[in-house]
Amino acid sequence: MSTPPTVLITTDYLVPGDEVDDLLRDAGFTTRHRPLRGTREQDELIAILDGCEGALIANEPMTAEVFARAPALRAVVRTGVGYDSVDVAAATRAGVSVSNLPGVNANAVAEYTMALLLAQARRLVPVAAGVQAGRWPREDGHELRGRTLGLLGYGATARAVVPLAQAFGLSVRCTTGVPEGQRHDASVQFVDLAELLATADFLSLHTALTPATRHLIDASALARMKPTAHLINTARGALVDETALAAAVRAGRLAGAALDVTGTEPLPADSPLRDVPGITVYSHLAGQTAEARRAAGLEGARELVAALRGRPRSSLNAHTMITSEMRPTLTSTPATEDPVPEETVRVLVPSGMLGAGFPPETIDRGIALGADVIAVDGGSTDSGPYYLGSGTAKTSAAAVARDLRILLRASADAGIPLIVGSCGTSGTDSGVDWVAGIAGGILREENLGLRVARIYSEQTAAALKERLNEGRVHPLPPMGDLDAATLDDCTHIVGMMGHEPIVAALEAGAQVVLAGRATDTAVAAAYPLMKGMPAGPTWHASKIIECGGQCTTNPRAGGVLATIDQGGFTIEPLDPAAACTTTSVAAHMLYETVNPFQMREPAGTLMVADATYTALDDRRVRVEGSRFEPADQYTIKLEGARITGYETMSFTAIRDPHILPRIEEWVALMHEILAGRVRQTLDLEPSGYAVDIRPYGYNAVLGSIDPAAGPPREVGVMMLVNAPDQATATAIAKIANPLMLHLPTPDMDYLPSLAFATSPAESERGPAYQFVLNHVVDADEPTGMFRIEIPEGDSRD
Amino acid sequence: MTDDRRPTLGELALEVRSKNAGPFWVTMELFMRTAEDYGTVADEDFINEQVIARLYDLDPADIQIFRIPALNVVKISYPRPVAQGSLRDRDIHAGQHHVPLAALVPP
Repeated sequence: MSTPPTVLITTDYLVPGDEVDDLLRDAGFTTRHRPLRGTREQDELIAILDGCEGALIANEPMTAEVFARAPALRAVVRTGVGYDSVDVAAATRAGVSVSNLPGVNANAVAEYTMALLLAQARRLVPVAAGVQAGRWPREDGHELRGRTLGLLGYGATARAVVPLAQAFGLSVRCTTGVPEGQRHDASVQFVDLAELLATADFLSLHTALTPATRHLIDASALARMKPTAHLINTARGALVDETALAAAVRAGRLAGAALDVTGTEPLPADSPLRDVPGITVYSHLAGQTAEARRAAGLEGARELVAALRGRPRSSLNAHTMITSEMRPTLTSTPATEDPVPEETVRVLVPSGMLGAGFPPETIDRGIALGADVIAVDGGSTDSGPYYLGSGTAKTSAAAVARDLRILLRASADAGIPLIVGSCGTSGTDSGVDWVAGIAGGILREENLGLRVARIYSEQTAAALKERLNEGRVHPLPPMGDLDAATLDDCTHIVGMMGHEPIVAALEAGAQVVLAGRATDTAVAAAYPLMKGMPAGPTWHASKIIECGGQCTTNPRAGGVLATIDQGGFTIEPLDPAAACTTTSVAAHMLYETVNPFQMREPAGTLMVADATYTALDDRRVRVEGSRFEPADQYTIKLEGARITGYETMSFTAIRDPHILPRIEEWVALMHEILAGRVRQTLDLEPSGYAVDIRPYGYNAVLGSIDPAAGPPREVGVMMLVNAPDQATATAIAKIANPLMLHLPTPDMDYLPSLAFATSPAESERGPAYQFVLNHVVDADEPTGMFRIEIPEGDSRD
Repeated sequence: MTDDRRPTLGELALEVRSKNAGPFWVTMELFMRTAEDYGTVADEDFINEQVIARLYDLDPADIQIFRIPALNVVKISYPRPVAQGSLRDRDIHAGQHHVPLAALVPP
């Protein structure tokens, strides 16, 4: 046999002959200890990695160049939690698995955090230094009891701090992206960042360093803190703008700071943090206890062995490593566990809607995890009928272009398809063309040669009337039978496609599919179904991921990756700091659904009542047992909107304490007098137009079902006039103008002057729309109602 | 001074929310913190179609109630009383319809 494979160990407390060394040698490896003390030149790191297949590393920068120049390297394990020092995307491209050890030192860091709190409150370091220097300091300190600890972040470490802080009598507040449903500690008050900054006596940072959190504590954040507050940082130095911190403490705008971590470590001689009374810098030791080091060393070594055997347990990019055919997993010793997972399809959903935005690194991570397809929804009916009725998009072109550029690049780089559904919000033909125009511009600018398919889903009233006459159009509750005239009234009608037209476009060679109206799930389901994944898990996974990060504990952190296989599916967030829990995943079946157990698709019904949800670890959830029952009749659901009239809006406000208790009488009088004036002026009866008067601040939102009562403090009155044409609507609103300014209540013997919010008080809203179709058409075959256009060649021209 | 007022569902629950389920339906969810609180709200003597119909001025026959013990959730769906985005629709996303439900006081 050849010489045993070598692993590099740079973590400084791991030494030859210790139990970690024994473990690695027993596993058949040769160890090479090169402890990192301070910093290390990249070339030196590359030199000591020479010939190494694995590495247990401290926090030296593992850059793309390091990975490129360490060709033998196959697995890296960080003996800690943070991995901002590792270019994971570069590692993935180089075929190197990267693991960290989440939670391994949570207790150690939590105890250290308390030590820093006490040291700041009692000034332990300056006091000891004073005694050392021959003085006898007598200044008093402060007690922790009764004070407020603000935690930024709610991960394993922050949660470990909570009981320790409460034992000292601190009240604990927390700002986190974890949604309310996932915050299980009722003793912690969750607040937004502004409130946390403004109320904390001690602000302790426990969040990961990402582009979004770099310099989160900057001059403006510091300015919002109490001047008596202390900042505690055991997380990452770059979370804090050190220059701004030093200035704030020097100027007395902040009492002090205890920093276990700094932007550059060791602390540079010219750091602004040096010699600032009140700021104490420590040498990144919060996680360094004998207990945590032992755990990190042993867990790290076990993970490294597992990763080199192709079975990493906490790898950040494991899936690519397992399935990559480019670089088959090597085994230094025979794997003892079951080999190779079954065939899978991985769907990356970057966000709930194209144009909603997402952190670009989440896409890199999804690709690194082995995404086979990127799917994103481009629309929804949720924002109302205007977008379908007018055929315009809710999102701005700039926002769509920003997201699309990242996704098109990722699709081209990784060689995987990109599918966008319900383009332009409502999926009208104009919406498809709008997104295609934006995509074409990007493809030209980026010189990407991708073939783009457009799938149009608009339906004509004439064709649908034929189906109606054939008895092939059926209402869905709560609608009644369809009247043919309703079809003629619609400005746009779309059919919601299933996955089949998208599959047809992919099979015809499209790399990018821009679909008109599609079911939210079809967009994600198309590629897995095309690749033979089973319908139950595929549709269920597609429903769970259609809103991106909505099924995670931090919807704002970006999207998700679903891995579908023959037995079910596994779902995980793209942001390593976010988590999917059984509750967050299962609860997503509730979101915007009438029935949480069944969901109708064109070809059948997804049944999830028997599905089981299992946590694989603290951020991935496995779902099995979802079923799909094919329907006897394939149906396409219709959406249509018609113009109800043209609207003009007027707005005034009332603060007069005499009118407010009589606001209902005032509204009734407004209707009565306005109707009379309109009759006199325009010769128009109330049946020829409509007026809605909404007393905001009283009961405008809920009307008669509002459970509260009592006079409001002030009321904003919105008057919405709807008439058959814009000129009439505006004429009525102008007739109402003096009333909106001066209308009294019936018992008043003078004319009040009310508070118009703007001049003019009226604004024209243009046509107003209403959804009028909630019906399905019996379709002969799934693609028949949709038109697929794929140009020859790519779509740069 | 003691406050012996009994807590409302909104105070008891992790979250009470409402949202459109498509343009023609509203759906609401009560996320309870504990199995015990779930048991209280899942009790058909407390929340049923008639109670919701009175609260929201609806026909009881239109109301669908789903009780999901695994999530400590009671979900209630009903047809939108006013078409979405129409002149009289004052809550385009139906995001505030949960308020009367949240104001209920369990026995």
